[in-house]
Amino acid sequence: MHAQRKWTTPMAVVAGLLALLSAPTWADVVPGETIDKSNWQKADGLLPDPVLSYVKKGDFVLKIGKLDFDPVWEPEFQQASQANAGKYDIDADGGILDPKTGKRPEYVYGFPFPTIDPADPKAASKIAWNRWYTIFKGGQNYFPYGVEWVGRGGFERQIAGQSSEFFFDGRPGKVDNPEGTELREYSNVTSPASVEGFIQLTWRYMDNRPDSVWSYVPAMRRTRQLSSVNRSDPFLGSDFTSDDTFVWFGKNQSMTWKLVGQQDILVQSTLPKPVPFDAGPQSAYGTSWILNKEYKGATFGYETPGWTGAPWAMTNVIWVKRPVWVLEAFPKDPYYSYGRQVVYADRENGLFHYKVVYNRAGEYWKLAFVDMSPGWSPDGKHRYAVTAVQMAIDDKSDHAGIGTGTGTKGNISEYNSYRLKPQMFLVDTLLKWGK
Amino acid sequence: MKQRLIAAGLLGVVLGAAPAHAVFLDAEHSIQFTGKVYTQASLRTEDSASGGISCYPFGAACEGFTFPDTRTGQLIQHRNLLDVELFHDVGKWLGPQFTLLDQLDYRLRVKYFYDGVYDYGPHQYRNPTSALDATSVPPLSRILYDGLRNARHHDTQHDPLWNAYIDAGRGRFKVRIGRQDLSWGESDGFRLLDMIEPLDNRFGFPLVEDLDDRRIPLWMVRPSISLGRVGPVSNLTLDGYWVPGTIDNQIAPVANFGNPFAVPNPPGPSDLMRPSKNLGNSRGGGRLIGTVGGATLSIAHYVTFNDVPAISLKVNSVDYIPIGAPGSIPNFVYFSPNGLFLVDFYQQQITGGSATFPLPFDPYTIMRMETAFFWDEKVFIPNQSVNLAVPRCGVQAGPCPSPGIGAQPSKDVLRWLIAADRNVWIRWLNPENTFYFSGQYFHTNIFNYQQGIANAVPSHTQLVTVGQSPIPGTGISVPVNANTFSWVPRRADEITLTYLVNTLVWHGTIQPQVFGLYDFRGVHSIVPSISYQYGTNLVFTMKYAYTTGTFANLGFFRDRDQLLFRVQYNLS
Repeated sequence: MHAQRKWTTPMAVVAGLLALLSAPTWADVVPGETIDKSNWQKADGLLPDPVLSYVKKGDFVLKIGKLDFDPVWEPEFQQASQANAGKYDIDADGGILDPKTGKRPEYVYGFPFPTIDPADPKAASKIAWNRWYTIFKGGQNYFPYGVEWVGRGGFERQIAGQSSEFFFDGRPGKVDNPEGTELREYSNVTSPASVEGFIQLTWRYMDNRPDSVWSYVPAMRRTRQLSSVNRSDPFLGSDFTSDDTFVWFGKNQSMTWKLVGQQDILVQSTLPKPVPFDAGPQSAYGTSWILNKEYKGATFGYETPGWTGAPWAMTNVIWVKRPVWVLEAFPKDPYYSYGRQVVYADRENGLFHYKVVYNRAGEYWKLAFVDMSPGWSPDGKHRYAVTAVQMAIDDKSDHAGIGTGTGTKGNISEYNSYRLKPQMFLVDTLLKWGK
Repeated sequence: MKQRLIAAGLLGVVLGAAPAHAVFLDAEHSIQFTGKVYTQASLRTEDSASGGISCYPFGAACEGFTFPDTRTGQLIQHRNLLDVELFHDVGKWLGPQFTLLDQLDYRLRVKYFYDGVYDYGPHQYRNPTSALDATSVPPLSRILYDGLRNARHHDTQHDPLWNAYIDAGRGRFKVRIGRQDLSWGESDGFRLLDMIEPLDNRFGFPLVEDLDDRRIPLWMVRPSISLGRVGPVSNLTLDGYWVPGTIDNQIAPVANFGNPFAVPNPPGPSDLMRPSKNLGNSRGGGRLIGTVGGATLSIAHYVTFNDVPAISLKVNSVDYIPIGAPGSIPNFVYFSPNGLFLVDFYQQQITGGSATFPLPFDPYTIMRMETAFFWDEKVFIPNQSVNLAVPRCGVQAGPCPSPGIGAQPSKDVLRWLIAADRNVWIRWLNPENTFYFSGQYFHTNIFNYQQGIANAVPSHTQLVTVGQSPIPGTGISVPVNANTFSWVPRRADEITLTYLVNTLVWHGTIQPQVFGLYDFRGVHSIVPSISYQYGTNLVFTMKYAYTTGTFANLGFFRDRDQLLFRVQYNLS
């Protein structure tokens, strides 16, 4: 027994030294290779901790790829962004401030903060605002969508619907905004029959007022005003919350933002090239851009023959390296369901890729993420923040909510859609379309 | 049997064909098919209080008028419902080149149901004769028998074309024409600004049925105009509706005597007076709705047919019936005004408003308020509605020269409600989801209240002596007895509280819920329920309804506790 102990310690030291010597100084991946549970170390430091654990467990298999294009915004947007340099600041509540007026500017196009200084204590808020203007630039968007419940046993159930958004700020070309709204969103459920006909209308204001939310509930045949502040409640019992949309769809002022670092990280993309969008009908707002029907979006483990990983894993994507800011968001509202959230924001195009969510007790809870599959017009002059999938994985219950977006399950998205006009986003719209 | 086979076959076809996603019939996703099918069985969990039926009309003091007498464990409902819809967004279908209208669509909804309780339920429902008490006097037996037969044939919604309407809109204007549903107001369960559509009172126990299943749509024209922002008011919209009385005279069907969900009543003939089809019997109204700050406000005025009909006695003759063995001196003379109760659905003017807003200091809490003033609502005052009928007959005995009809007095009635809704985390109980809490305070105030206002529901009857009648040629007199009713009184102020708590567990597949109601008259109801969603399309539900307390308002159903099971399949 003693002899064994005598030899054990030196051997462990030698083994440890060998391990150190054999390991790379820093992990890295190269396009073309596959990262799985046998070589997960290669992706160490290139993934949020939960994703790395999925690779270790065999839930995710990463096919490393490379984009054939630079996923930044069109020159018009970039130029507008540069013109915004130094114009704006962040107010005490976390909103955008025009120092000349002391108020929020009525309209901004491009990144309001094209230059980020990591030493700036307001840098994180500025990054968070930059992200919103990548969404706003769509103008008015129409998205058929689905929400799927997926467990270890595979697909469980789904709902399907349509979502429409009209942005008043950040769109290409200013529009009248008498109500002072930043965005308006209209969403309805088309299946299953038990919730078909449910409609929700949201107004988000430019100032610090909470959102206004109304819904049409077919079971009551009525329009109802709802509380807008419980945005961290699960959506119909799924793993999603309203604020998990596009990783973050809340009001920036509701969080305290902090920049904690920058790094490279692997994100998912459905194609190595831009997702193709075709010119659609014209409207007062210009050309509609409609998803090319050849694009099929993402597929998942539960529907991929031979797949042995997590049923919710995307199985037809490549993982590409992107430079990101690492932010932390802390809710100001003590009733907010989440505690600290670590957000990974693209340093070049401003998109949010991941959100690691901790509960109020500080324990890791779940991960929200999207793929980065930018949509481009054929000439590249119109580029949009497109996602085939939005996903929330609850690691406490080992369950996922999948938001099926552009292209996935036949969802044909439209950007700058000809269908949508501001007057369609009024409360009387619920009366018009409520069944 | 044939109906059952058809229903089973239809169920098989739809289940086999049902997909697990929205069904669009075209590439543009403009034509959608949707629907549901369910089967629902309810069991009584307590014995009926039916003592009054067996002793009426000659019992000494009878109470308990639930008919037919139903025992614990007996089936009282087995509804099989098919509900399918087709929605066609014609504007979307025609594409962007269609610019004439901003909105053009139509919806067709077909609903059909079959309740098997009268075919294969307990013997009382299956075979009316067997429900009759052997001691019942022949006229009473006939009424009971007819009641059950009517329940079998009339407790159904005969028009399967449930919704059929067209929407057309351009700019600020929109109109919906056809058979449609419409609901105003902010109250859950109480009908203030929401008495536009009649409710089907035959359609199951109100506490456990979906309100939407009980609504009866109307053929109406429903225009709206969006006024946008006017001063401090956003989203200002004026909408209205008109139900031409020449086309639709639908009233809230009364649950027939013999229906398992009918209000308990002693058996007696009645005459349901449905409004005739003429323009004067049209329904209609207007509403102005808008938002100010964070509040959504509305004011409305409308005319409708009150769900609760006016009741009055109509006497055709006054009879004195000797009761006793034939050929002998009668035991007593039964004073019997021969007539029936008029059940009169009348037009009701209603004015009111509503407000909803998040609490400024706690935006998680949504406040709902609604008030409605019912102008000249008919009230039942036995001294006028019943007792005046005999003197108005005009004779002491024999046929009335013209029928004697009781009065239909009226009072202005104010109804109002304050409610609060809030989602609350109780993480130790459910770490996954919030609990939804909703509480309502509902108040009814009868203006110029006078003693004697009552519900037209007797709590009990008793045979009382109202005089003496000499027997010719005998020198003796026998008592003249008459049935008198003790009517359930209404109060100047009636208050009801409701509460609702639910949450979602197991990734939203299970929803436990408790609904409760407390009426200040001393009635308490509680309805715990649980539903389980299996996959996208299958939903299992179980509900238990328990009511206890005084015989007033919802307490009329205090002997109707029941357990409900439902299996629903979504067709899309």
